Order: sequence, then C-alpha cells, then structure tokens
Amino acid sequence: MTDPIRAWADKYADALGEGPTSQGKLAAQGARLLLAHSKPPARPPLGRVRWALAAACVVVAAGFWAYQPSSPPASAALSDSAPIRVGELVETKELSRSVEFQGGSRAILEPDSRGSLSHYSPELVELTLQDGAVKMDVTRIAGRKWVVKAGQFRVHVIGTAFTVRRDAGSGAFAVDVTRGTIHLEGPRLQGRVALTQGESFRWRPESGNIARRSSSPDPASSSRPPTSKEAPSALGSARSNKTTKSSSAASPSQSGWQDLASAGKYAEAVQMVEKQGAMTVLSGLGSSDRILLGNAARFSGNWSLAHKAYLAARSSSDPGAGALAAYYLARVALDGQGKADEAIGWLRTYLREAPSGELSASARARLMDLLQKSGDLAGARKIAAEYVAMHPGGPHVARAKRLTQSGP
Amino acid sequence: MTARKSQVEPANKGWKSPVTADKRAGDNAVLMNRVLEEPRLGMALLYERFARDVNRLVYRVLGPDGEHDDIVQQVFLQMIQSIGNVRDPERLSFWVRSVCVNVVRSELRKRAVRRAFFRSAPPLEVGDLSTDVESADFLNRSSLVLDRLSAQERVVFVLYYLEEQTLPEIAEVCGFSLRTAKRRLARARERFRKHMTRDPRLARLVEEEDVG
Repeated sequence: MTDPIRAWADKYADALGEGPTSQGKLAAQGARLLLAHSKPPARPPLGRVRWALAAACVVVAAGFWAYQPSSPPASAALSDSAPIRVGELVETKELSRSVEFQGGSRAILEPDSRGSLSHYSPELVELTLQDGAVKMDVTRIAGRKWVVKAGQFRVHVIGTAFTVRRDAGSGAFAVDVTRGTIHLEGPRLQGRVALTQGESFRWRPESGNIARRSSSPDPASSSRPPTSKEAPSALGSARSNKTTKSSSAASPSQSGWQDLASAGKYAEAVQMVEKQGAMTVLSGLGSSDRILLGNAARFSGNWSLAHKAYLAARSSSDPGAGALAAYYLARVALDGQGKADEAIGWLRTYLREAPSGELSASARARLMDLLQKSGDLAGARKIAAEYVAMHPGGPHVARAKRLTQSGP
Repeated sequence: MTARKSQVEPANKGWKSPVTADKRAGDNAVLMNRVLEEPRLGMALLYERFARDVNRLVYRVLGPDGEHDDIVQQVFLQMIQSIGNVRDPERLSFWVRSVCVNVVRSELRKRAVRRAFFRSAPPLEVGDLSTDVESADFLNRSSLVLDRLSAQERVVFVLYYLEEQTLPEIAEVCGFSLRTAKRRLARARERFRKHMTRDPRLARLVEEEDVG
C-alpha cells in the first residue's frame, strides 16, 4: 500500500498539469513584467506615516471584522488550467469546461460554446453566454446575485440549477430550469418573468416565436438548439415579477440524467439511465453525451456501463471524442478491472489518435508507469523521452528524465 | 501507483541540488553583471533564464491562482533589487529558489491574515476553469486541505512531495536548520493527513488513484 500522501501528491501533480509554463503564456507574462519594470517605481511613504497607516488599517479591519455579518465566501476554486479573469473569453471545443466558485456554485460551459465572466464582485456574479450552452448550478448565498446574459436576455438566478442555450448565428435562446426559480428578462417580456423547476423557455428571433413549457426538460433536447416548432404558448400574459406555479413541476429524479451528471450526482444519473435501458439511451446519444454517461458511470463505480458508453463513443464519427474515449477506456481497464495490458493498449491508442491532446501528458505519464511496472523498461524509456520532449514543464518531467537517464 | 520517492536518486532531481555547483556559473556571472549594469535588459535575460522554474514553483505551492502572474512578477522584481547581494555566481539558481520561496511564503502569510480578518479573503480571480470536472473537484478539495497548513508547513510540504526536494535542500532553500525542516515536514504531514481524512471524497479519489 502506497503512502496516501504520496498517492495524493502524484494525483495532485497530475491534476495541476503544466500550468502557466506554456510558451505562449510565458511570453505574455514576460512582456507584462518588462512593461511593469520600465515604469518608475512608486515612492514609498515615510516610515512613520506607513506605520500610522498600518495601525489605522488594523483598527478599521478589526472593527469591520467585529461587525461583519456572516459574509459569504468570495469565490475561487481550483483547476488544472488558468483562472478566469473578468472579460476573458472562454471557448470550448470537444470538451465541456467547468468554472467552479467557492461556496459550491458551478458553471459548466458545454462543448462548442463561448462565454465570459462579465462582472464579479461579492454582491454580483455575471456571466455572458455568446454561443452554445452553459449549465448553471448555483448555491444560494445571502447577499450575492447571479445573472446570466445571453443576447438580449438576462437570467436572474435565485439559487437553482438550469441550462441556458444561445445560437450566436440565429440569436435563438432557450432556458431549462432543473431546480429552483429564475427570473427572465428579454424582448417582448413584460418585466421579469419567473420560471420554476421543470419549466422551459424558447425564443427564435426570425419568427418572433416565444414558447414556454411546463414540463421537465427533455433530455433528448438538451443538446440541440431550440426550434421554432416547440410549443407555441405565447408569453404575452406572463406576469411580471411573479412566481408562476408549474403545473407539472419535475422532481429532481425526473430531471435529465445529463443535468444530474453535470451536478455531480453520478449514481442518480446512472440509475435513471438504467431505468430507461442503458443501451436504448446510449443509441440515441451524441458522442459527447456518451462520454458524459461513461464518466458518470465510472465515477459511480459502474465499470460495465462506463465501458459500454466509452466504446459507443469510439464508434461515433467524432475523432476527438473517439480519442478521448480511448483514454477513459484505459482508466476503466486500470481502475475498474485491473487490466494493465488493456490499459496500455488504450493509452497507446489515445496517444496515436491525439498525440498532443489535452490529456496527452497524463496519458504518457500513466503509460510510462505501466510499462515500467510490467517490466518493459525500453518501452517505458521511449515514452519517458517523448514526455520530456513534449511536456518539458509537465508534472512528471523529473521522473521521466530519471527514467531516460537510467537506460543502457 | 507510482512509488516515486523509493525509486528516486536524490541527486537526479528536477531542480539542481543547491549543494552542487551550478555548471553555468560563468554564464551566471555575466548575467548578474548585465542585471546590475542594465536592469531592463538584465530583467529580460533573468526572466528568460528562470521564468519556467519560477512559474513552476509558484504554481506548485499556490496551485491555480488568480494572482499567479503578480506573484511571479514580485519574485523577479525582488531578484532585480537584491541580485547585488549574491556573492557566488555558482549559487545563482539556488538563490532564485530562495527568493521565490520567500515571496510565496510571504504571500501565504498575508492571505492567512486576510482570512483571519475577513473570514474569506476575496481573491482577484473569480473562478477557475477546468477541462476536466473530476480534476477540478480534486484540486478544489486539495486546495482546501493545503489551506489548513501554515505558510511554512505548506512550502516545506510542497517542496518535499511535489518538487521532490530532499530535507537538506529544503532546509537550505527555506533558510532554517535541518532539524526544523524535519519537524515542519512531520507536522505538515500529520495535519495534511488529518484534514484529508475529513474529506471522504478526497480520500476516496486518492484511494482510486492508489489502485491504479
């Protein structure tokens, strides 16, 4: 049994990845540093003044601390990539990306989407969705408001889970509420319209068609943009600033498995899929949803379903998803089935199909370990050399170098 | 699971041992002179030479952080201001690590004070981005545990477990005795283990990794 802290350190280094040491980021950082260095330094205050200011600050801070109401945690979570700054555009391609906020809130930008964080303060967090979809799971914190902007629409969040979609080309907009309540503002809406759990809203600008549904979001529709054919119940009569009771509000167990999986409720998501028939569900999914289902199954320990879902993702026509599925199949073989040989095969497949993929550093590190443990030192050294060449700032570079140097 | 430490020869670490001579000592002397004579050009050269190492060390100790670039900038400005104090060019890279550790440690202390006064220190960055929800969750949970360590403990812990430095190296870089380094590492380890076990999901994620 390995020391758990050592095991943690390995996983942590892996999750951290190369961080900000990529060449592009270093160049930008260097340029900023030189710019800052070329400015004349600010004149430091006199010693006594400095101490007086510090003392005053301590007094004010102590007073503030003494009378501060229970303030919410500000924000910040961690990830293996750069933090988001206000105004920075975030784009996703084949993988979803998650923005984690301290306090338990989370925004998941779905594949092929663009968005940014347009405002942040302890009182207000505002996200702008330019294109694609964002799934929000907001934990209510007193004193903090959340707003998601999508084109002409503004979604005011109360403490809930919902998905906003926008097609930048057509301007089409949609929102599905999975839990709680939101307030919506937009064209042809009289003031703010409340949408509660299980309700959906669709808008298409070319037809001017507004649709509102009071049923649980259809899982099958969650990955496609809204269409003008959807239930044409105009919202002209929607009451401003009133919470409308949904006639058939969905319980959490009735919401889409994708929403449950995205909210980290993997076992519930898998249970829902199995009730519907795993193979039936899988056959109707796109490649990214197959991977999402595979991940949910893997995280909940259902290795058999994970294996099926990833294999199904590999059979799709999307090469990016296929490669990603190969990486995850290696994880299933290793973590769930203890089949090192099979894991080696899948890792090689992943690296062949995506030699510079997002998970290539991790794949090479794992492959290097597995080959070393299986006694194939020549193979391990070859992969280690590749690792050093392709990920010079990677978390396992020291180990890879040692391995390459240990050779005959 | 990889048992890195047991397979590691300390002399082959990613960082050069501070007790071994820097083979680029000649270059170091030239570099130091350039920094002293022409600070702006010197800064560029210094950055080119040490940017990757400084970024990596700051990143490993603090994790993904909205103030990362500012802290790296502080390290380089500190280096420019005090490079005249380096007596032996052979020890330039060791000195760079010391400056880096001092700046990061100081930043961690400031944050601890802010947390004490404001209960939650509002960082500049407002959220973090991940391509992998599982990794983000793991990093988030790990960060909460690391935040429970003192600045000194965290630096020693990260240098030992993530940078794979030996205790004599850590003691020298951090500027305290070997005995103190051992004591701090033992305490950091004990506290880390205690807080890690309080987060069952984190413990489970580590166990999953260990199976592999």
